[in-house]
Formats: sequence, structure tokens, C-alpha cells
Amino acid sequence: MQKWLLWGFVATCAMTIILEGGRHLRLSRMSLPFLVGTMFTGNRRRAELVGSVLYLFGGWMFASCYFELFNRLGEDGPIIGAAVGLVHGLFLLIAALPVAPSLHPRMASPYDGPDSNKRIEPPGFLGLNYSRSTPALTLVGQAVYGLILGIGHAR
Amino acid sequence: MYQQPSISSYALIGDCRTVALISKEGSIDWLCLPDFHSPSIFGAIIDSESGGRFSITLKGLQEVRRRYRGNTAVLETEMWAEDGAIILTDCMPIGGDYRASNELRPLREVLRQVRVLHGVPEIQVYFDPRSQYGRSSLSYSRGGPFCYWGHDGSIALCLCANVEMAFEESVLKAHFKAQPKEIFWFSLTAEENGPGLAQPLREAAAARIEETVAWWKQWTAQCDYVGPHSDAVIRSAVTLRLLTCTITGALVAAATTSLPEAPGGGMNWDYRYCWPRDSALALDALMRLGFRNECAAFFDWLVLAGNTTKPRLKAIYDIYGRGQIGEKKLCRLSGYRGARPVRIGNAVDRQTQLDVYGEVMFAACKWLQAGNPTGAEEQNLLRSIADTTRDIWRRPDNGIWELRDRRRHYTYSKAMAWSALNSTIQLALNGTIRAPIEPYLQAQTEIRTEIEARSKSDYGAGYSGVLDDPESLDVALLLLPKHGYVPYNHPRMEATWQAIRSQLEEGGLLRRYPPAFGGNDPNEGSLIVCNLWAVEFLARSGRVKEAHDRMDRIMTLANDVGLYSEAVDIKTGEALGNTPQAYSHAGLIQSIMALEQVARTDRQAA
Repeated sequence: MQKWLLWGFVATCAMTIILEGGRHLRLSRMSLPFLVGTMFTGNRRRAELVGSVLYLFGGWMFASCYFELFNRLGEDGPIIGAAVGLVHGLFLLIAALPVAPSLHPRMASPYDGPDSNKRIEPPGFLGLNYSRSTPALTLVGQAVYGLILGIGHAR
Repeated sequence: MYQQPSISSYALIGDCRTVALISKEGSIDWLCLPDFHSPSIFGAIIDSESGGRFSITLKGLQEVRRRYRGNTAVLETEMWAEDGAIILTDCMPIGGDYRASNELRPLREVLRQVRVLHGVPEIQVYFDPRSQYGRSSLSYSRGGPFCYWGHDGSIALCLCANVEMAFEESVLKAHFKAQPKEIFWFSLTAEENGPGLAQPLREAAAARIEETVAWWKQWTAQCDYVGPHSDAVIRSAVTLRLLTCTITGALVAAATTSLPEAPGGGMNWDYRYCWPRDSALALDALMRLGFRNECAAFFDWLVLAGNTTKPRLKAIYDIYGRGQIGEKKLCRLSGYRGARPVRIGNAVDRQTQLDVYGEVMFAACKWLQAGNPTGAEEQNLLRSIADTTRDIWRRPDNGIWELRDRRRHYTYSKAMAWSALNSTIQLALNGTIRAPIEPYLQAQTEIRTEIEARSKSDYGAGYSGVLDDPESLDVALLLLPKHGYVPYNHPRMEATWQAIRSQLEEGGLLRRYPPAFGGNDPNEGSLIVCNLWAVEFLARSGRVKEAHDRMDRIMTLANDVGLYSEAVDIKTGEALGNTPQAYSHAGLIQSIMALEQVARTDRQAA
């Protein structure tokens, strides 16, 4: 079994526990599985299922990218892993989330009129629309994801 | 400054998971999200300044006519002003299976449609949601000219409208002159622990209203009652359904907290919880009307709740069956028309109320004797309730009226302990539960001996409200024949009725106990349900004319859309207490059906 498959699974599970746990502890209202799933279906139950599966595959995909990056850098371990995770998290918060309304077929945008059928609240810069703790929680989740992959690559 | 309207001004809409109260002037003054007992987003009913509200009204409003659309919970308010008229339709969409739907539906939605009926009226919109019972203004942002996103901790709100609104300080307002036949939409949605969800307006919104109307029509079609006051029966059934939580089957006692039982007084309680006593009465009422699904769901909830506190039954649980409620005073809130304090939660969870055992067993007995299945879990719980009753019936309790000063030996509580054992014996005799009946029979005899010996009244040969306190009276004693403790025409019951009428009646309305009993406010109102018990008592004891007269009087105490609060002011007839109250509506159904049953028996005899 490829190492990145195993460690990608472990890291994705850890990140999911942090992000979804934080959501249920009312630290943030952001649910990445829900946001991903609703790109493909408007059915809430199916969206959550599809989103969770795609989220796991996304975790694996990024794990292979992280492993490739560690190979190219010739460095690994928890610190470098966490640093890569933090950069990844910052990119997500600063660049990806604000443009989500343009990419997501069901996400509302400030330019929508009263007849718009787009329904999901946009995350905004740093995901701050989903609570003030969203950036911190996301960065912690991504850092832990990277840290586990860093450890996994080094073993 | 916003003037809180009278309690009777409020109509109810809901989605069987939470409810909103709307005044005649079109203001949503009460909405808790996401559940009945969650903190309010709109709470002007408990604090006119900081509570928050969502109002749609006309400038120069002159006349208002309201009605529910048929037998539904969709409210239509016709508002007339000099310039023109509108019809405001309010509902909380319900219906459709979210599992099958390909449209993202929010957790909760309040949908408001404004249709211009006549002329060019000036419409005023005021949207001021407040976080955590008015603690602070909600932080919300503009998501374009027609969409506003707000956040209250884990709750995300979204207001969509097809009119542009403007911020004035933290309030969203719109003020515009409408054109003939124009239609305006306002959709307020709430989502918990997730991104907010906007809902489409116009045709899609109209479809949601129609879907809601269809759902309610289908639900009320199950009602098999035919007879006098059928509109009141259906409205009461719809109100009970609105107060029943679809998720768990629990029925909350009322939609609100801290509306005073005495004008301006301190008798302000939180009724957004489930009292097994009230629910048992409602279960019986709904069962008689043919709403079996709600009864089955409630019975499941009761088993769940009862098991969490086994072997005791608590007087109160939350909708999820938890018996630890607690109580807090929110001193920063000014209350309804100055009635302080505003309480959230209810300290009744620490009380002992013996009558609960009797009422729950009575309802369970009826439910099971109607042929509904029972499993080992239900049987164990019922046996445990019976055993606990047998063990604790000698102890003093807080009684049906939940007096907080001290515990007493209430006659009604003892009689309900007798009733609990009576129901157990019936269930054991017909094989529904397996239990030896001798210990229960023996305890029953002891209870009866105790009541007959110690419940003596100074006002004739009837029962006193409290054992060894001959001056005490209690209107709940009118229920003793219903539970089979004593026949309706027994001399002691007749004497009890005469004492109640001479000592507790004022202006044709009954007090539940003598004024200021237990240190309570002497100006407290007359409970609707007490007057309804008198109707049933009179009807079943053969005084049908008097029963009808009293019922006609009670009918005049409903508000314009047929809703009853907990009580009415004896002097003014103004509504008092939390509203609408399940106990009042369940009692109304029971009394109307008792009148009809007696009339049917008389017709058959003739």
C-alpha cells in the first residue's frame, strides 16, 4: 500500500474531526463536506454524503501532492508538514473561499437580484461570514493535516 | 417607543418545530430559533425596546381583519388604511420530504407575502432581530440589495426580499408606496451550525405557501369530529399540533415565556417545555379526534422521558426528554408591560407533583386500551410508575398548581395517586401489563380511606383542597369523577361544586383556589382550563343548560383567530398568561366533546 494513501486517510480524518468537531462546538458554521457536496446536488442528504466522500478523496489527492512536495524539498517531519499545511490553509482562506460564489453553482453572491435561485451563504474573506473563529479553526485543521503527513513521510 | 399589544392580539404560526407570534399590526414579536425553548430572535413581547421584532404594517393603519386560511396555520391579515389596503400572508413553510427534495431547504423559514388589495397603501417594514433574548443587536451584512445575512452564534439568518431595504443604525427598514396588485415577498431563514441558506421568492415562495396549506389540510382531514363548535375544535387541534415538536413528539405547554398570570405581577413562568400532565390531556383530546400519529409519537416521547428519570416522573421535561431544566431570571428585560421578572427555564423540575402519575397513567391506559401495541419497555415503565406511586403517595407535594411556598397534602394529588393505581389495575386485569394487583388494591384502599377521612370542607359536605385544611378549596377537584374516583352525582361532589361556585366564582369565572392561596398574587386571572372543567363536570352531571351557558361564555374569551391564552383577567376579561396554551386548547376539545357526547346520549335516550 502506498504510504500517502494510509497517511492521507489518517490526516484527513484528523482534519475532519477538528473542523466538524469545531462546527458542532459552535466555533464555526463552515462545513466543507456540505459546501463541496452542494456543488453537485441540491438534495441536502445526498449533498452531505457526496461531499464527505469527495472530501476524503480530496484529502488523499492533497496527501499525494504533499508527499511529492516533501520529496522535491528533500525535507519532511512534523514542523515542515505543519508549515506546508498552514500555507495551504492560508491559500484556502485568502484566495479560494472568497471566489467560491463564482465557482459554486448554488452559492449566493452580492450581485444576485431578488429572483436568484442561489441559496448558500458565501463564506467571504477568510471565511469570516461563518464566524470569527473560522480562520483559526481552519488553520489549525490544515496545520494538523500537514503535520501528520510530515510525520508519515518521514517514517 | 413600541407599545406591546394585548396578549389576545397575537396569532400563531409555526412549522411544528418552533413557532412565531404575530400581532394584529403585523409584527412578529416572538420567535425562538431553532427550537421552542431556544433563545429568542424576536422578543418584543418580553421587552418592547430590546427584544427585537419584524413588522410589516401600513402607515395610518385603521382597520385589521384576520383569519387563518381554512383549517391551516397560514395566517391572513387584512390591513386597511386611508390610502389603500393589503393582505399580509404569514406562514412557516412545512411539507415535502427534504430527503427527496432537490432544492436546498433551510432549517426554519418564516415567509411573509404582502399583496396590495386596494389603492396605493404606504407599507412600512421594520426588521430588528436581536441575539439571545435581546442581549445585543445581531451582526448582519448586506449580501446584495435584496439579501441580508445575519449571525447569532451558531445560527445563521438570511432575509431575502424583493424590495430594497436600508440600514438605520442596526435596524433594516423599508418605507414605500405600493402600486395596485403589487406583491412583495419577505423570506427569513435560519440555519444552525452551517452556512446560511437563502430561499427563492415569487413563484417558488408562492408554491411553498400552497404546499404548507396542502399539508395542513391533509392533516386536519384526519379529524373525525362532527358536531357543534367544530371550528373551535379544529383550531384547537391545529394549535396543539403547532405546539407539538415533530422531531420528538413532545408537546410544549405554550409558545411563550413570562407573560404574566396576574397583571404586572411576578407570576411569570416559562412554558416552552413539556408538562406530562398537560400532554396527557392533549393526548386524550387528540386521540378522541382521530390524530393517532401524534398520539403514538407522544407516547414514544413519554416512554423516552420517563425512562430518563425512572422510577420518578418529573413535572416537566424539555422536548428531548431531559428532566434537568433549571431556571434563570433575565433581569435586564422589562417584561410584558412591565411584568418582571422574565424567566427562562422552569424550577418546577425540582418539584414533586403526585398528580402527574395519575394523569399520565390515565392517558396511557386509554391509549393502550384502544388497542395500541405495548412492548416490554413500556410495560416496565408503567409498572415502575405504579410502584413509585404506591411508595410515595403519603408524602406532601407541590400539587397541580405548582405552588412554590411549601408542600402540602393536596386532595387532588392523593386522588390522582389513586387514579394511577386504578389505571394500573385495569391494565393488569386486561393483560396489557403483567403485575400482581393486590398491592395496588391495598394502596388504593388506604388512599381512599385517607381522603374520605381527612378531606373535609368548611363549606358543606364536599372535599377540601388540602387534607386537614377545611378552608382550602381547589377547582381541580371537579376532575375526580372523570378519573373514576367518585361518581358525578355523588353528594360529596355536589357539595364540592357548590362550595367552588360560592367561594371561587367571580363574574362567572372560576379561580383555581382562594385568592392569595400559597402566597400567590390575589389578582391572578381565571384559568381557561378550570372553567372548561366546570363545563364537563356540569354536562356529565346532567346540568346541560348550565354547561352550555358556561361554554358560550368561554367561547367569547378566545381571540379573533380562536386562540386561548392560559387565563383571563376576572375583572376585564383581558387575556393573561402564556399564549396560546395547550392545556386551554386540550381542555376546550375535551369539554366540547363531552357536551356533544351527553347530547348524543340524550338524543339516543329520547
